[in-house]
Amino acid sequence: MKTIRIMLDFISGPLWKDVFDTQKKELVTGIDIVDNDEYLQQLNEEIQALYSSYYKINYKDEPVYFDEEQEKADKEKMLGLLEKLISRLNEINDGSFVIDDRETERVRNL
Amino acid sequence: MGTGFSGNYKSTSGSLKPEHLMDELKNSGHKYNEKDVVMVTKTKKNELVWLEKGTSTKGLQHIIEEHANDFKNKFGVSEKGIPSKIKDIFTQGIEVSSKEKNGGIEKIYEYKGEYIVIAGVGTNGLIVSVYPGGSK
Repeated sequence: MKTIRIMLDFISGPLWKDVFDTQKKELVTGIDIVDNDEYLQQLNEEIQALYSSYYKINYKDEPVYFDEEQEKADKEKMLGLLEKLISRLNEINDGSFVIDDRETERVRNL
Repeated sequence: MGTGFSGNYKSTSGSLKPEHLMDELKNSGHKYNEKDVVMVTKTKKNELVWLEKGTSTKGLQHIIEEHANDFKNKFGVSEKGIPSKIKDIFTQGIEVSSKEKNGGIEKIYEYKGEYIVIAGVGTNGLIVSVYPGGSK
């Protein structure tokens, strides 16, 4: 049984991709049913772009500044997107993976 | 990549913050927090990258809080050893991918012929996050 980690980091996540596909030359989760789901990948890109937008280069006297206020302002938007992501994962789950969601509770507590 | 000794700098082999690279960072035009720099190095592509103490969302503190277990499990490295390990990854690893995405640079290294390591680096060279992936 594989685990799909839901986690946000700078230009990474929420679908935690830590397997390098040498043919595609890109990171994947290693769970085919997840990697091949177009809707999931679209959601993943949207959430990643939103979270990464909080990081600003050479801003407010910082080499990289994390905009906590913007993250809080986007809380409901992010929760909505994460809910869609988790829902889709549950829809396609054929019993081959479990979800380790490290974000929904964290965002809810912002 | 040499030790940086040019007659004007002390020999810096093994140092996490060689004087000549700290000078290069100072003259780079990038904002940086001098007292918070824990490591500065150059990749094989001659890119200047550096790691600061950081916060929960970036830098060493972030890497420790979110990925220390990964470093321990993959490399047997304690928290104190993480900056040195990151330096080794950037200087000795084989870069298999480097692409700009969502305002940063995703760098993927093949390390010691066995491991994949993923790094999120600011377009200015600040190392925001690093984590070991699965094995090759």
